[in-house]
Amino acid sequence: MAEKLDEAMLKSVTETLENLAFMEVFAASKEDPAPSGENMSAALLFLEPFQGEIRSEFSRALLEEISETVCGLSQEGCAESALKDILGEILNTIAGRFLTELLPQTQPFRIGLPEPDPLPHPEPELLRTWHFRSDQHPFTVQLSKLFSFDLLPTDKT
Amino acid sequence: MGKKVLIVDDSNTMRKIVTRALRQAGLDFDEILEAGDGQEALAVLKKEKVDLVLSDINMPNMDGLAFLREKATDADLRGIPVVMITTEAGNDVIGEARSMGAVGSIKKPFTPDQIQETVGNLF
Repeated sequence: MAEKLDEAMLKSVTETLENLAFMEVFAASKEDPAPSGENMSAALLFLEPFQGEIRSEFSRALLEEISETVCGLSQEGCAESALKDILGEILNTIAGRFLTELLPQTQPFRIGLPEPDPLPHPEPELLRTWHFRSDQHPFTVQLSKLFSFDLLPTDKT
Repeated sequence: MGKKVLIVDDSNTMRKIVTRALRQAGLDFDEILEAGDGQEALAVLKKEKVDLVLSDINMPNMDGLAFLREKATDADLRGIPVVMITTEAGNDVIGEARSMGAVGSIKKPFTPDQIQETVGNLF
């Protein structure tokens, strides 16, 4: 189960960043440096067929690079709202692809709208974190263990 | 006369991505219009002669399915083709959209080729 989750997450993240932002993505390890400098995050709820939450944290620098590719906005001209929108859309797309990979093809699912600047998760020990790198920029995607995926390993296991 | 395409999505980023994909797909259109939700989209459709709508499903205020439902009640708007662009999967959501008049769907993330394949014959 853990392997299936890892594969689904890697595929979802790489496809999303490649198709949305023409960026190559690599899996990184938790020993790799976390996003440094100013970071931005977003969260989104899984609604059906199970409940949970997916979060992502990107450095502002990475989002500005993506913005330049996607929106043609120069890095100096990137409003905070534009960067939040980009991160929200990235997370929204990753979430949809992830569930598509994980669930049977005929299984419908529903996800919520992305929320920028979420509060810290109340139980961080229940989070499972995936680390990635694009260019020189690390970023993370996290799932909460509010799933019915009993075998979802957390960072502590 | 050039064709007009309306892109409906609450994300400005996604509207730009769809615009980029339409251009890269080499489709023959002259103008791109944008709307942030279903309500705005209906207002645009009442003012402009739009040839094709590309719409997200999951939006605040009025989502894509509600937009289709409202559009179907207006005789002047009913015939405008709508293609859904979405992360939502499962036959029931797309099936529901088709039963309300959507002519196709594209799943995010998509490539220009996938856009071309789905909407090319609508131009």
